Parts: sequence; C-alpha cells; structure tokens
Amino acid sequence: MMKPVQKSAMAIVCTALICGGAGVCVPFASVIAQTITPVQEMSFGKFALKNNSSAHMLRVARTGGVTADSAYIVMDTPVPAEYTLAGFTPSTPLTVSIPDSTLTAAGTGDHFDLRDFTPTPGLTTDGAGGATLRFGASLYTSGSGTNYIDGAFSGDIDITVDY
Amino acid sequence: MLKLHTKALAVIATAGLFCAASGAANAQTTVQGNVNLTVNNAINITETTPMQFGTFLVVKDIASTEVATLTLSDTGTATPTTTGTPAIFTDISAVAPAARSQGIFGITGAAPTTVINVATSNLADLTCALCTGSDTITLFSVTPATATVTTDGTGAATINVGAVLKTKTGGNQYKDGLYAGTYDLTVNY
Repeated sequence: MMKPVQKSAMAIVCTALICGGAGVCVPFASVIAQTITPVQEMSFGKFALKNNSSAHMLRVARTGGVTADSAYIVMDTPVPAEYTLAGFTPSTPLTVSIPDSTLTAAGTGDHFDLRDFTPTPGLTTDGAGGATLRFGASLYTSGSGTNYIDGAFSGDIDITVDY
Repeated sequence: MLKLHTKALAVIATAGLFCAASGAANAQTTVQGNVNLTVNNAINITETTPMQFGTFLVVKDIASTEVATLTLSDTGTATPTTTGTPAIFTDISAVAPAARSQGIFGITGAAPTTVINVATSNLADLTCALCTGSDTITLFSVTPATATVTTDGTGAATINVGAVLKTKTGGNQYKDGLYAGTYDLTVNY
C-alpha cells in the first residue's frame, strides 16, 4: 500500500523539474533570470573622414586594437563592447551571435554598416553562472561618394546568447 | 523499504538529466545593445589678420604695356618691382602709416598632429568702392596656391598667406582710396 503512494510522489517532483523556468532543471525556488548587462557599449569614437568614395573600414578588435583605412582620421579612439552575463547555467559553453546592423543619424539618409562581430571565443560560464562577454566589430562607410554630415550616429545590435 | 527508496531517487536523477539536455538545446537570451560614433569632418578656420599691403603710390601705364608688381610675402614683407615707367608701386608708409601684414588664418579644433590640405582660389581684383572713374588692381596670385600644414597636439595650426598685385594698363589712372579684393582659402583633411 505504501509503495504506489511513493511512486506517485516521485512523478509530481519530476513534472516540477521539467517545467521549472527556461528548461533549467532546478527547483522553482532556485530559478534565476539570465541577465546581459552592458559594462561598456561599443563606440567607434570620433573621427574625420577624408572621403566616402568607397566602403572604408574602421575596425575595433575585441582586445581594443584599432585598424583604420587611410580615409579615417581617428580623433577619439574606438572601444570594444563589454557585457556581464549572469544567471546562466554554471560551467556551460555559450554561443554568442550578433547580426549585422547599421548606424544612422537622425534626419539624414546617411548610414554606416556594422558587421563582422568577434565575440569572445570559447566563452564558458564560471561556477556561479557568470561570464564576461567582449566583442569588436568592423564599421564600413556606405561608399556612396557623398561624405557624411557632422554629428552623432548610433544603432542597435541584438546580442543573443545560446546555451 | 530502504531498497525501494533508493530506486525512486534514481528515477528522479534520470529525469533531471533529461531536463538539462533539453534546456541546453533551446535556451537563449537576447539583449539589445547600442553602438555609436561621431563624425567630425568640419575644420574651424578663422581669418585672424586680414592681408594688408599698406599705403602705396600706385601709377599705371595708361599709354603702353608697362606693369608694376607688388609682392607681399607670407611673412609680411612687401617688395615692389616694375617692368618700366611710369608703372610703379611706391611705398609711402613713412608718410602715410598703415598696417602691413600677410593674411593669417587660424585653425582650431581639428584632429591633432594631422596634415591638412590648404588651397586658395577665386581671386577677385582689388576695387575702390568710393573712387569714381578708377580702375581695379589685379590680384595676380595668392601664395600658397596649395600647401599643407600640420596641426599641433591640440588640433590647431596657423596659415600665412601672401599675394602678388599688378597694375593694369590703359584706361583710367588710379584714384586715391581704399582698394580691397577677396580670395577663398579652403582646408580639408
């Protein structure tokens, strides 16, 4: 009589585990939301551009190194992005993907292309489920032949972490 | 009883492993980040000192083709020459003092330690707005026509500009007055 009761109890526990938040196999009370928090947003600094006769590249590496075509005159040094990841499964490899994007200035048709993101390779969470994500990217002018207006350009990027 | 309990725990553990494997295949988190930059192509340039030749006796050759030339160096030194009388530029600053200087332009806020291209163009002859029946003085050239300057560590630089004037031939003789002309100075990276 005692035996079936115990089996039933085990089934309830298992259901709770399967459905417990984001597919992570922990009790409900222990589920922690994953967070990706910016420590430093990516910036390509301030520069002058001699011309836009072709797609000129300005690259900031994940480690902070800057490579620029001769058309760029860098005035404020670009910086790579850095984000803090928390609440992920401990000691787990992460895959980061960031689609291409564009940077625009309000009220103008000018834009820069942003691509070739380079997230930290082999990124793995630590024992507490945290990690530091850094990445660089390449900025390209449109190559339209018309130089850019002075001012601020900005754009959004979607940072997706799979685990 | 003890044996049965152990077996049940084993079942739970198996289910737990299954859950973890299932979550690893699908879980993802996305956040939106921002990227920015500032374009600063403009170069601030100001004429800090207008070009001034000073006061001269200027005579043109109204009957022939002699031409007088007045050269102002980019350091502010005026040198008159002539191909022959009566055409002449004669410096009378001693009796009619007037400032003399090359044109001086100041660049600020540009990229530090950077080469900047300089070009002059659109030379407009010197005219006397208040003179009646006079002629213009030819603004023959401006120096440099093209050049480069390098900004200092603060993004500043100075450009000195000289010019060459020539008298015209024929027509009316020059009248007393202030003669002024213009030229364009263009800078870019």
